[in-house]
Amino acid sequence: MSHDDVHDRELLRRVAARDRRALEQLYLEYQRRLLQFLSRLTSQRETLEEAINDTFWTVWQKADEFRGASRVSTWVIGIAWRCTLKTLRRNNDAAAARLASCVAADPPRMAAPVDEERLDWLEQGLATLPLEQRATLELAYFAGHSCEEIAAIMDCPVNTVKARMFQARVKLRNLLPKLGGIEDASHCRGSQS
Amino acid sequence: MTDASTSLHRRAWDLIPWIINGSAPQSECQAVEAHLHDCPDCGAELEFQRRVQMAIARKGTPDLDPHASWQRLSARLDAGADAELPSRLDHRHPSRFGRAWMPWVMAAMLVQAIALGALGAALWWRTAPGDSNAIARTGAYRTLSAAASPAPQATIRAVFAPTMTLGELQALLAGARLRVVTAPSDGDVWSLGPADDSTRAATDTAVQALRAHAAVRFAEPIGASP
Repeated sequence: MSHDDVHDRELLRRVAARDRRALEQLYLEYQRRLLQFLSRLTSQRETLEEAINDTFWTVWQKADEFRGASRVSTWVIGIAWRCTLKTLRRNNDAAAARLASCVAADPPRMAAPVDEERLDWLEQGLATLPLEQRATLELAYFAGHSCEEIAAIMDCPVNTVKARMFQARVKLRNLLPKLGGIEDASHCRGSQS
Repeated sequence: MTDASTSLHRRAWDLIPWIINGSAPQSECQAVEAHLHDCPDCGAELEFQRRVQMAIARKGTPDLDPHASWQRLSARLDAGADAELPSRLDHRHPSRFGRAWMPWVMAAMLVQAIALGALGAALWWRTAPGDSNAIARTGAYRTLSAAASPAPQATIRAVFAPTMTLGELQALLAGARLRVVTAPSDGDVWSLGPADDSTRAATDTAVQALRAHAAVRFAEPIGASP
């Protein structure tokens, strides 16, 4: 168990004992981290705050139900993921996000782009992915979570995470064929078994 | 490609994201290390996924004052205590708030009903048919036959934060020149109507006044186009 997780578990134990100061400390330590992840799913500041506050409202209610099967961070981020999905559905933000994705669905194709441009194109490509696929990539690459941890966060089987990761990679490749210096997606024969 | 090399290629290709983020088991990494070095497809994919990781990492994060956000959550927890939020009430499990206050609310309603009944009886007696002095006693400005002031037509729907007090709500409605048409029964949506001016311009002004208040979560004119 990491030092961070020991610290988080102690805070969560105090939260379960209705210690509001412990909840505040947990909130202040996690707010930025959740913001970094959730802001990849929606850019609406009000939606972000609503989702994060809903998350810690749930943590306050359910802290005594944490059984230690995962890291505290995995548990909290899992709650945040579900709260964000609910908030997006409630605010009909997902429809707006999909609309924005359609607008960006046809990235410009130029010869010999410089590196910054390639990264810009990749950002646009990421924005076109369905929410679950994008979140899988974000959790893996930004937060460094393992496949099993992402399955716990997203409350789905490990194979679903693998499938989402595979689909996201293939879709990015197909959208941006020249970025990797490969003209087709034939290299994707390492398909999901 | 042989079956064995195809299988190794698949394993290596699937493992690439987890190698990049450092969560792949060491034994798995060692098993595919040579293949990643020798296979041009996997080498290109490894490079491509590193760029994806860079694109994700460089994206900025919006600033949201954690202390201000915490204060809002703290106020919400104070208002709701251990109960569920009004918008998420599960009727099978009435909240502690609801249980504690229900007898008082019912008692208040009973007292109010008795008082209204007594008032109605008194007024009826003072204006009873055949009582020629009734008008003189009650004054020309007041008759029971006069139609009651009709409730305004609802022009706005609004949702207020559970932290909003009755005093704040009254002040807000008075300032926006609005009246309550219907209060929430099982949801949290209030229907509001104009206190006097029912023009569309007045409705729009009132909506703006509502939206400017921190405790108003939603305010829309009824019948507005989406």
